[in-house]
Amino acid sequence: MPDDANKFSRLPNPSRMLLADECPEHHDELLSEYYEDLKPVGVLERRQVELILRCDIDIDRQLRIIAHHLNPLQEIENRGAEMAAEWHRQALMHPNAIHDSDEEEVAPPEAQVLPVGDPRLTPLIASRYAQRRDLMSIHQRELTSAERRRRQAIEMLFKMQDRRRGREVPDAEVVDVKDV
Amino acid sequence: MSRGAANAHRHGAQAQPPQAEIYRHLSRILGRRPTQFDLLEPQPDIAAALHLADCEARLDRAHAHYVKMQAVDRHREFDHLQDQLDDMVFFNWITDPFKREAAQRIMRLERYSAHYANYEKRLAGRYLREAQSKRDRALIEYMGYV
Repeated sequence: MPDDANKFSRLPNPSRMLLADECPEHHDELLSEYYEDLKPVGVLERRQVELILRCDIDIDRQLRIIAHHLNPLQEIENRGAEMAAEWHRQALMHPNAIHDSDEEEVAPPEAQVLPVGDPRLTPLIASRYAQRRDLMSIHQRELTSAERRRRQAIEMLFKMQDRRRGREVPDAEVVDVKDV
Repeated sequence: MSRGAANAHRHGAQAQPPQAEIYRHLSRILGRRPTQFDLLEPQPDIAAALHLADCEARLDRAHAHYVKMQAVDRHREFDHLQDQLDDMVFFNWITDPFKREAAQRIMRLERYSAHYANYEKRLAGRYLREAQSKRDRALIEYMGYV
């Protein structure tokens, strides 16, 4: 992490901008690498680099969320249906059986491992996509939006850096024509 | 401005950020703590910096809200309603068939929970895009004075 990172651009609490499965330490490492790579000077440029990093994290996040929602082995949660089914089940049970069923522990379902590169999963994934079309469209839109924001932020950073470098160039010296 | 929109500007993700956060951004932009004189009668460059600081604080807030909404797939208040209904039925099984049917129908309104969660997610994305756009414009304006 650069020495001046804490002074200017880095937010005091980057975890505010991260989900539970994203690590603030990893964020700091990436920020440090971005600083080394893009070499920002001054507060505004450093802030711009931080926004580029946020966009990159967001792109990665959106892809991860889309992949999670398209997992064909994941069960779709339907709390209402589960509750209504439980009402019916308990209504049909004998009172003693209800008491016994409360005491028995329900084992958590075993985690299913998704086979990698299996083309037989394609119809299942397509079906899952159709079931969650609204949600998919939102995440795909956010993905496109994050990519656009990233492109604009990089463009803005380069403009700022060009402007700074242009300012450092000394003015042209007027030379007397007779001397040439 | 409609009543709903005004409410969103007062309490929601678009609400005015805390002054401390704006001043923190302003101090970073100016490279020094702003004086009382800066804030009472700001010169054009200070005014632009102040506007940029405000936009930066709003962008942070909108981004935090956007990130929070990414993990939400269900409407919290609808879940609360379902839980309450479940408790009511569990502790006192409804014998009236019409009420029981009504309770079951409420349980079947699952899609509305997802619908409102998606609506809020879409709204959070819009707030972020708006905040980013305003911040970029404020930055370009401020760059004219640096």
